Amino acid sequence: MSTKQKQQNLPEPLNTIWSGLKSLPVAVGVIIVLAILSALGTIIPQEHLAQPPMGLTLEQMYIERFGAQKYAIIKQLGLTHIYFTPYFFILLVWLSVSAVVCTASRIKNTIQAFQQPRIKHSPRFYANSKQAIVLDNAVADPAAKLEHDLRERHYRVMTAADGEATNIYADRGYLQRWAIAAIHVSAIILLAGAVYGKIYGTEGYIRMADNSEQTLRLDFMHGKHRLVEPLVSRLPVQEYQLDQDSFRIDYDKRIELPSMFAGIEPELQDYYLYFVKDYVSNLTVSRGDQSISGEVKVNHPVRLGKLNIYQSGYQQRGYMLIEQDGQETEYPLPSGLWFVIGPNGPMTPEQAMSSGVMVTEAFFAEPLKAGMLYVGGKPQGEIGPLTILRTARMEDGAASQGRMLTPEVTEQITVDGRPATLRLSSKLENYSDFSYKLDPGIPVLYFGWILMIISIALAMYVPFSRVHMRVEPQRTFVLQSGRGIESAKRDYAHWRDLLSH
Amino acid sequence: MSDVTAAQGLQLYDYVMIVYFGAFVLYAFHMFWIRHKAMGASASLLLWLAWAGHTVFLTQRAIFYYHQHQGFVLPATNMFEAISFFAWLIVLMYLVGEFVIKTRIFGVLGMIVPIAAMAYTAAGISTDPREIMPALKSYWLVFHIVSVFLAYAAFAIAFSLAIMYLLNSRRDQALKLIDPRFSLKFLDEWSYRMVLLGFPLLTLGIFLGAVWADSAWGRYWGWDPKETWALITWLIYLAFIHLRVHWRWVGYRSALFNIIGFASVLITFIGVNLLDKVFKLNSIHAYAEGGGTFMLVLLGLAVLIPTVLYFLPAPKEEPGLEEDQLSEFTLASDVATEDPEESQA
Repeated sequence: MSTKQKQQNLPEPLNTIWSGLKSLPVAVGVIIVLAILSALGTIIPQEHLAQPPMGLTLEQMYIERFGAQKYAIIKQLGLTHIYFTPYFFILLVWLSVSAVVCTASRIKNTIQAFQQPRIKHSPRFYANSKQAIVLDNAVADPAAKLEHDLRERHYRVMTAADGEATNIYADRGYLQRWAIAAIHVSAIILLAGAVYGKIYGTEGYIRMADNSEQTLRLDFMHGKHRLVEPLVSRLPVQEYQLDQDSFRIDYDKRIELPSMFAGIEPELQDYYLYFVKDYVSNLTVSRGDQSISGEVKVNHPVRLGKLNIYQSGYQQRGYMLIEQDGQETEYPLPSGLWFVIGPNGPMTPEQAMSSGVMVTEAFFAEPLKAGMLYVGGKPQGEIGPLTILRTARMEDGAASQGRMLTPEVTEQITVDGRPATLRLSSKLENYSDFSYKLDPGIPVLYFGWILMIISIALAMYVPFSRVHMRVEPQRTFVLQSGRGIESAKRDYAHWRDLLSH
Repeated sequence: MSDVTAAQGLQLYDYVMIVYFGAFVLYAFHMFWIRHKAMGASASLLLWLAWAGHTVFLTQRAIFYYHQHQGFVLPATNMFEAISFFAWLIVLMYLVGEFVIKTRIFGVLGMIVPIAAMAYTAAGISTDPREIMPALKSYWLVFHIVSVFLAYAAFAIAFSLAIMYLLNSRRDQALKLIDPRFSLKFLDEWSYRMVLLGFPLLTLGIFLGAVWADSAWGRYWGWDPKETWALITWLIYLAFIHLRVHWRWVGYRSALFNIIGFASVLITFIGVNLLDKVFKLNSIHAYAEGGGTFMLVLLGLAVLIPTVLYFLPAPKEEPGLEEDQLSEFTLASDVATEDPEESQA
């Protein structure tokens, strides 16, 4: 049964869908709509990337930006998570299925044209084509000569006699036709791999303190849409044991200070020369009798079975010591924001104002730096902990120049109206952030992607060419198609020469 | 080691920009007024000289990074270097084209985007080398950047040809001086060929970026604005190729589509940073700083111009753009046939 007959047998709504899937204008329309929706997602902050300002929830952030009324509409339309909406997914599926349907509806003809091309054609066939020409035969056995020439030029040649005439059919570069089919099929393989991975895979984040152990539970039901829950409900929860033997942060030293720091006080410049070179965990992952140990760093994940564990981040927490009236107390050091110190330790200026704490100074500490130092790739001991502390005195309102703070340096401050000293503690807490992923769809997805790339290259750079010839005793009809008029002109001139002497 | 600095190459870069501009001017003379072979050869020589200087500058940066990081780092770590590297690739691609096609007539076109790019780098963006964050230390990144930038370079040349097509197709009086060998057919065909070169490279580049992201962050696709715009660019060129192949969108409409495609390239390359700033999107690619009013105006024009042109009456296209004459041959359609049987293949 032909595709057309199949289509006619379908009930009306399906028939419409089938026609839509086969339609190129619809496919181009879907491509454009997908592009517009994708662009919309880069104008409206998306939930999966949004980082609300401190003290605001995600919803509050949106309301602050768009207003409650607009936000309600935006949320209703799913525009804050546009790439994960059903309509976006349906468009992606439509495009992929459409690519396959288009291919399927043409592949039969392509196969037939490849296996049993039509060789015999009457002069009228040539007369109907604007690109067909007629050449005079001035040589003996022109058909044999043309056939030989085509074979020499790597054409696949077939001939058929028709009375006094000889029909020649030749083609070259059919690989291009298969490649075009493969491009369209690869789209659905790619999407299938992504969907399969999303359904049967899982991912997440885990934070581990230095020298600690944790159990990682992979629950495949977690975060899944209710429609796919039945598919994964029978998958057992997998447990992995993670044992972090050590975690370190390596620093490098800049060869030269970037110009943006040129105005920094000379005694503080050293701080800005150090930057994080790498952060490395020594991790052991085990499950049952399987176990793997190794260094995990960015771009070097560790893999056990199908589970990949990636080094995705770190946190370095330092402490400060406040000494007042002969008593020393340790507090976590806030960095990257202004803070004040009250009788019970650091707090935000807003907290201090609302609780009536007497504030004479506010502080700002740059992120702490502490770890192994490498210069020119060679270890040069350790740095830190060190930071830069900037102080703003309330009476003049201006920030001080800042001081490099190390455990050896003390800063005279006032806490609750009485003198105190502040210094950096040598105590450090390093946390290693891992992301983990189990995605069984990746091999399928990568296969689809590689197939697409190779097929696109073949489709664009393997020239397809088809030649029809009808060699009569006095004249030869020629039609070359597939490679454009310039190529046809060159070939016609070549065959004209061939038949003229 | 301590005598290797990033700043020392910047003076050379300034000279390189001047020589590029000199080559651009000579190419313009060659195209508009003096079509003598010597003028073209001088322009070409100057361009090779500038490109060689540019290569030295990039090599110096790579050496600096090698000393800093003890490994090869592609000198495209910040917006300044990325644009400079992009311009270098376009010029390389043009020079290869000039050698292959053996003509210097479209030197000005090849130089439009590099000159604009270099002017942008001179407009005050930071020239400081960046420290390389751990995620960027991956060999996948080098292949990803080279592949994507080669694609962008091809699209840039396609864009320049499309612009020339639009100007030429309107038969502007001011353009009468242009070398007549710039036929519309030539511009249209080469513009499309450059898209055919760029599209597989962009597909490969997006794939390599996905593999890199997967090894660095454990996700091959995160719908980050930069990734999303790369996909949008890919979709635009995908639609362009389909429209051209199946609906014969050649000539004028093809040129307009090409300009929209390149506007998307610019948004992917630079505009995303602007979107990130304006709309606070938290792109993980935000380390690639850049963007500004200049870019906003440029992008606006790149979208506005083709849109306005689309609604203006289309110019009468050059006869034979779609069907060239086979006048030197006897057409089968001119030969009377007696056989009434067959009419269709």
